[in-house]
Amino acid sequence: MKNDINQLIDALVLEERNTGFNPYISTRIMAAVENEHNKIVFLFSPFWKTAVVGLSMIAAVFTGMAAGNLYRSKNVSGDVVLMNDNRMENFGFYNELGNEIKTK
Amino acid sequence: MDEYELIQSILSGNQQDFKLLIKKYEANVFRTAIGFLHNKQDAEDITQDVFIKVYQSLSSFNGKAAFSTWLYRITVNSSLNFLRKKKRRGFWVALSELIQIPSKDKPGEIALTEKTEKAIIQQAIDDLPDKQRKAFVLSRYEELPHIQIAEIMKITEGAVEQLLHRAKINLKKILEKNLERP
Repeated sequence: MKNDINQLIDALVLEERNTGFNPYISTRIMAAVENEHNKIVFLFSPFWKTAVVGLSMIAAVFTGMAAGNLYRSKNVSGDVVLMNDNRMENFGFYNELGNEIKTK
Repeated sequence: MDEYELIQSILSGNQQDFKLLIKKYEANVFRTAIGFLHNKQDAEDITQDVFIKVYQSLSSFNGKAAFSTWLYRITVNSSLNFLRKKKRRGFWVALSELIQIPSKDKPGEIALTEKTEKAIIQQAIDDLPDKQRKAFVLSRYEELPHIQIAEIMKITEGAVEQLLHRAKINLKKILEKNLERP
């Protein structure tokens, strides 16, 4: 029985080992490989490169606008806006000179 | 052109050289795959998948091991993954059939009567634990030396011998039970 089993296993292995395969399998694989290659080439084609650069620029502009709008949304009182800052430096001048020279 | 030069040539963009590599190893990949799958169509599909994977990841092949060792590893893993997916798909198909058509017959009995000796042996090989099955297929279908099997499976030569011994014992046990004759 044991020899019988070994023979059966050997026969199956031999039969499967000798199974012929499609002689054009290499052509089929090459076609599939080229197809995959073309997909990759398409992804990195000049069209997509330009599209990505263009979209990045648009995204950058919109990000800038959004950031700008965030800043503007803060409430700024009218007085501060209308304040003439030409003389603001003068305040500093007086504040820092606490011990002003007394004139007689 | 030796193997290293061939790989360098493919990597530098000579796609047609890849066909030479396929021609050199297609039979080995197919034989290994059929050892796991026992089906010509599936083995051809796996052969195609393996070579596509090889093409896509050829740049990551660092040459530490022989190219054939790397190729066998990809083949073994692809075949086992294919079987796992097929098993999962088979479960859902069987489940949907069970829900749609309630069978009056006992499926186990039908399966047993329809099983031929060949199918029983194939099933016995499939029922081996993964490591034993890998060692068995590489040794019997590809007739690789133990040292190369050890390299492919990243284990010692002694471990390969043990796996093959256990596979032989397990196969006998399963087949003695399933091939009992009146």
